[in-house]
Amino acid sequence: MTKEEFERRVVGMQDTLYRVASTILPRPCDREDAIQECVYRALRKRDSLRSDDAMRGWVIRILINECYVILRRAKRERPVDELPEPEPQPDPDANPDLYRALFSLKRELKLPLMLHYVEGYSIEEIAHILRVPPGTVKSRMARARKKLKLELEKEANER
Amino acid sequence: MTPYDLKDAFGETPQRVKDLVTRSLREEERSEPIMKKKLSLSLIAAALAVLLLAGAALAVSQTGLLAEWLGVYNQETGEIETDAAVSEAVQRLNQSVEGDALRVTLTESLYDPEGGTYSLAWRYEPLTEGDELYVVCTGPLFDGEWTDSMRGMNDPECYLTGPTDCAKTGRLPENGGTVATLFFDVYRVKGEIEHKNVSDFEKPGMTDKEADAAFEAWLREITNQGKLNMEGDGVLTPLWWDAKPEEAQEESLVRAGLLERVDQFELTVDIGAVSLAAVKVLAEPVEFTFDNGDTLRVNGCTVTPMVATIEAEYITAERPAPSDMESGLAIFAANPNEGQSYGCNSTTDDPVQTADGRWSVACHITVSPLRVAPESIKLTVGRYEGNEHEVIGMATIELVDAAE
Repeated sequence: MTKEEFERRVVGMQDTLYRVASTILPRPCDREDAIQECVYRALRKRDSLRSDDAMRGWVIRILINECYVILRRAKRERPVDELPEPEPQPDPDANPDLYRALFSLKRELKLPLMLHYVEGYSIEEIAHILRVPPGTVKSRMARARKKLKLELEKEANER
Repeated sequence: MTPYDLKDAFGETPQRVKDLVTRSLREEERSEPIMKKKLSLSLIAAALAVLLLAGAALAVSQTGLLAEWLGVYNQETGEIETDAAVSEAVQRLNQSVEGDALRVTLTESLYDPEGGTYSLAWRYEPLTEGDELYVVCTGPLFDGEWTDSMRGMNDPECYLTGPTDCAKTGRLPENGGTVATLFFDVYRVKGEIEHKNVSDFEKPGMTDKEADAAFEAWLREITNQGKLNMEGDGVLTPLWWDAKPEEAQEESLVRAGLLERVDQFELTVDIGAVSLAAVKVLAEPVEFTFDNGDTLRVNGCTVTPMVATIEAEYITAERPAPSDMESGLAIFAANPNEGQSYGCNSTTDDPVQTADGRWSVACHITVSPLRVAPESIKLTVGRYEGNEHEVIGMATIELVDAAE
C-alpha cells in the first residue's frame, strides 16, 4: 500500500477513530491526544503491516492501546482513590442518555458492542482486534446488550 | 430501541478531530527533518558557531513552530493556517541553557492575557552524538505560582536521540505574573527499550487486575535484565512498586540503574512583552427567552484565537438551588457554522434576586482551545440532576471584530 493510499484510508477512518476513543475515554481532550498519537504511530509503523486488508483493525488496535496508555497514565499521576472519575462528555448532537448508558458499561463489554453494531465489524474481526476468542466476544456482547437494556430502562423509569 | 441505535450515542465527529487527523498525517511527513532528526556532531558545532556569531539569528530562523502547532490544517489548500493575530503576537526568543549532555533553547512564546493562556516552544539538542536522553520538563512556574498545562508536544516527558522541538499551552497564573520558569531534568538511558503496554498482556477471561499483574511481572523481569519499557511514544514506564510519593517517578528507574541523571537546570523567560489581543467581541448584551419562559442574557464575550470568555446571566422566576456536584446549570458551546463542539468550562454563582423579583444566576464560561476565532458561538443551556441532563434551550451569539 502506498503512503498516499494509507493516508486516504486513515482519513476515511476518522469517524471510527473518534467513536472508539469516545467509547473508552470520558474527556474530549484525551480522545484527541489518543487519536493524534495513534495516527503518528500507525504511519511510522505502517511498513510492519503485513496485509492491507488488516489495516483497519490494526489501526483500531493501536488506538485502543493509546487510550489505555492515557488511562494508565492518569492513574499513575495521582493515587486512584484521589482521582475523581471524569464525567463522560457526550457530543452536543448525540443522544446523551444512550451515551451515558453505553459509557456505564465495563470497557470489556462496550467495545465489542460498539465495534459490531456501530462500526459493522464481524465477531471474528472483533476477536482479532481485541485479542480474545470469538466465543468470548459473543458472550460479552450478550452481556452488554442485557446490561444496556437495564440501564436504559432504569433511566426511563427515573425520568 | 435496538443495538443498532447505538450510533446515536455519538454525535458527528467534531471538525477539530478531523483537522487533527489530517494535521497529524501531515506532521508525520515532516517529523523526521524537523522533530527528531539526528544531526551530526559537525553540524551541531556549525550551528553553535552560527549562534555565537549571529546572536539571535538562530531564533529568527526557527520561527513558526507555535504558529503551526496552534494553526488549523486546511484540507483544500493543504496548508496549515494560523490566525494572523497569533502569528503577529508570537514572541521570538533565544534563551539557552546547556549542561553536560543537553542544550535547551526557548524559541517562542505567546502571551494571551485576554484568554488567560500561555504557549511556549523550545528545542532540545543533545551535545553528544548517539546519546539517548530522557528529559522531563516541569512547569512553568509563574512568579511562584504553578499553573495547569492544557496540551503539549513532546512534553512533559521526551525521549530523544537528536534535536527535538517541543511546545506546550496552559493557563496563566492568577497572580498576573508573566515571568515563567521551566525546569528540566535530563537523564541518560542506560538500557535497551521495549515497547509494550498492559493491553499486550490481556488474555481471554482475564480481569483488568490480572492483566495489570501480568504486565508488572513482565516489567520486573525486563528490569532485572537491564531493560526499560516505553508506553506510547516517549513515556518510560516507572517501576511503581519502587516509586516514592515524594520523588519524581523517574527516580525509580535511576535506582534500578536504567536511567542516569546527567543534567538538571532551569530556564526563565518573561513572556509578557507582546500580548495577543482580542479579535472578536459581543457588540452589546443580548437576551434569549426559552420555551420555559426563562431568559439567558449574554452580557459580554471576548474572543482571542485561543479562548472565548463569556459572561452571562440565567434569569428565572423561581429561585434555583445553587449548582453543586449533584445538580445545577451547565452551558456548552459550539461553532454553529462547522458543527464543531468546543471544550467548555462553565461555572455559576449563587442566585441573586433582581429588581423585578426574578432570580439571576451569573454564568462564567470559558471556551478553549479555539485555534481560530469564530464569527459566532452557539450556547446550549442545560440543567443536570445526577447523571441526567436536560436541555433548556439554545442561543447563538453573533460576534463582531474587536477593532470595530
